[in-house]
Amino acid sequence: MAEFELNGKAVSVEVDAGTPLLWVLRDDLGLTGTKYGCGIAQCGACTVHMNGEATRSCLLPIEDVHGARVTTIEGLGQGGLHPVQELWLKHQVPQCGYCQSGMIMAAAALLSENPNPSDEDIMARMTNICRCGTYSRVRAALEEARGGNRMGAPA
Amino acid sequence: MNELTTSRRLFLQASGAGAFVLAFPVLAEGTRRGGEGYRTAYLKITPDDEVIVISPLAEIGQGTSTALSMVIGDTLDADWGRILVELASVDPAYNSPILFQQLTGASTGTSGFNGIFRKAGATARTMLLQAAARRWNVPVEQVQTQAGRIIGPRLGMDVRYGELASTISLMPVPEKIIERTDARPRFEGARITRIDLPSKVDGSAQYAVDLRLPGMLYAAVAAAPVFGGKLKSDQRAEVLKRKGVRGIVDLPNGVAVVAERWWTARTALDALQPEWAETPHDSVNDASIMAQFERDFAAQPGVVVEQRGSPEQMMGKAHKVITGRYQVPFLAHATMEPMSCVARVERGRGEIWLGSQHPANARAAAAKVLGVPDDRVTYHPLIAGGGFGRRQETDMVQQAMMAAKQFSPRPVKLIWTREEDVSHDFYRPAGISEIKVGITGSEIVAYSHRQVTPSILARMYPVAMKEFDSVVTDAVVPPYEFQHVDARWVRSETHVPAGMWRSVGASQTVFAIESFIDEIAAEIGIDELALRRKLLAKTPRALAALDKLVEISGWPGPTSSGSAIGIGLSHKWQDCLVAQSAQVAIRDGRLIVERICTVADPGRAVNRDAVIAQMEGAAIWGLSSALFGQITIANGCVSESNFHDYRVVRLSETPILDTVIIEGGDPIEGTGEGGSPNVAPAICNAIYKLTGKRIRRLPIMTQFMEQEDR
Repeated sequence: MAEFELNGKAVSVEVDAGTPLLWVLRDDLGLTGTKYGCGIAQCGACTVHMNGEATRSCLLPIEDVHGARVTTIEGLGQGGLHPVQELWLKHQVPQCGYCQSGMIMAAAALLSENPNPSDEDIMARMTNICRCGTYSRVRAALEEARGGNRMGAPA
Repeated sequence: MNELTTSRRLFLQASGAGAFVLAFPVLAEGTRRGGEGYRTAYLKITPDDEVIVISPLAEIGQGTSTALSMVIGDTLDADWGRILVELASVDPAYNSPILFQQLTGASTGTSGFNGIFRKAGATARTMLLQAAARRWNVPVEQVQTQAGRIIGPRLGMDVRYGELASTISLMPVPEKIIERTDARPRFEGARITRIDLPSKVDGSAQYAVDLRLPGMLYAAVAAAPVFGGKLKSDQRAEVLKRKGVRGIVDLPNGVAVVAERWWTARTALDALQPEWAETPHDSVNDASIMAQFERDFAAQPGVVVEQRGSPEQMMGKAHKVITGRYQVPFLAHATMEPMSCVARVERGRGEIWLGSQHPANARAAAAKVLGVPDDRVTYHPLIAGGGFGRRQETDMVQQAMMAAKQFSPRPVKLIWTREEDVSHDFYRPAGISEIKVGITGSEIVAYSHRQVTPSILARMYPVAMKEFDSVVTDAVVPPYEFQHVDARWVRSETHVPAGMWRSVGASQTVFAIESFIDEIAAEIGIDELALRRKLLAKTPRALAALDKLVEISGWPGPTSSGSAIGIGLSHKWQDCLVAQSAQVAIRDGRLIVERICTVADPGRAVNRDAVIAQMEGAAIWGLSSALFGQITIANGCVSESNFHDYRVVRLSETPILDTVIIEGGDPIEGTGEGGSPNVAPAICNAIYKLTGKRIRRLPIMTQFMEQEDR
């Protein structure tokens, strides 16, 4: 059994200790906004916040979540839209949308730690994969978040 | 968290965007009934003023649901906040006027359907005007529409569309349509938040992987690693004892584990340890496939795809003949949502839930499993996590239905692992392209292009297959003014399944052509832009696109900063004209694509921002395949398995993208794929400028390393 805080509420689940958090969220707790994309922590579609940090949930055994504070895309806005979600709408970032929960969670964690991330910070932290190729709009949204300071070309 | 507040805020913050709803069974044209509002195949108006746009196209991220809603919004003069989108089920009414089947493909969504939806909106508006005029007993010229209302000439003559919806459902379709003439702004051309976006930023969007039905079971699947292989043995006796495992499903080419949870099924699949029977293809690898291509290429002249003038004669008379040979590998789609499908069988009827690019085929695949007529299966459309051509296939439907049949009446949700998805795709075919031109003085007097590849159409759409495959040979003759042309295709099949893949044949032909145009320019001794301009002298729209590209890209580019700009131009079938540039630098031996500029002329852009998004996405698609994309065949099977070895571009490798849309005038052309195929040659052309080395084989990164090592 694992007990943790999920989107501000205490939850307890009875599953095998090795079950990844991703599948507990999706299949046991019914929160399907967090997505499976690769299962090897490469693509970031499964990104949630654990104790405030962007964490890939597809390889994270539920036993390691015991006692932690977990936020998913469903709980990010706390009753409304999180500023990152607002920016995502404004810049029309999503296409198919499948990777965007993870992308948004990664961006929200980055900005909460550092509201003015450098190009290097953004490139190092935004490693999520998007096959529709929405990266330029993710960049645009993050540029606005840091006060309109444009990013340079990859170096 | 208050769900209602959340969704309401979302709704408002989406600039009054309409909501996105899931389909319920659709009534075809001609089955309109009174009392329930106005219902046709493409458009419904409910008595409480909802305008429901029924999109015949899969919503795979391209945004056609919104584009068609904008068309309805304008022609019906609807209130944008009351527009809802429903994805269509299967019906001949939804066959594409271009592709003659219900198919989301070839970038023909908006270009194919905008006319039908214009007519649907304008027809309903005309009937609303007529109904109101009759109600008020005034001439129809004296009534007008105003964003979901009809206004008459006298005070109090003001009625909502919903109030007349049931009335117009009983009226005959008007012979003459009354067009809108008011000066109020239109949705088309405006910046509209895509209807599907609110649900895609708050996690509520529902894909097939997300569907939850009562009593649902979960399936994980393993197909034979060698395509066409069969299961020999496995450890099912042990696996069936596992907690939560409900059973094993034998598939034609593999095996599935069905369990109470997906993770249980997935881990049980590992424990199943399937052993696979030998196949005739166990020793096939990349080298043997390439050797086969070379053999067939040498032995056969190929079938003629296009011929004009006297190419052979002119080639013989040319002062000089130069040849370039280009090679591309197999490529996977790797949609972010792995292949998935939910299926249920109850009392001889089937149901499937997925986002399919080819719903009739999906339904037929399910019906075949059950041995029932197609109409005994219901297709429930869902949005899909990327398509790119992959979801025109039905392999996942067959598998899900076989599992559902075994566990009837419980629904079964099948989700592929990423490993399964990468290694059991229908791949962009590998192939070789050889271009030969005859040059006399500074003139190109003959153009010949010969390809060897497997076919796609022969398996997927045999009725569309001619002597040659028009999909893999797409754009084999460029839009340049060549008098004497010979284009041929040599078919060479392998056991590796080949399928539609964003930009398909053009991803091979344009790579070869646009690289070789630069080689020709160097041979003649003029710059690559001047050569293209000369060859496009009679194509003003192409010249305009090139001019704009020069303007925004800064071509020929800085000579001091260590970067160079390469260009390309193409106009693939059903897609728009695109001129593109890549600014490339090499720093400390590392190749960096700094900027990609795209100029596209689709004739007209219904949803301009979505067209720009398509161009941006296509550029990244082209960049991933140009730099890294490679599916390797070894021992008959795919070597790559996940994103660690099937590498795709990430944000840190994303160039600055600058995109300009030129609206050169009707007809509307597609925008889904044209932004992709020029990327590889533009990069290679820039690399040539920087290093003097010509890359003729993709992906660039492996080539680039090899060249740097020498």
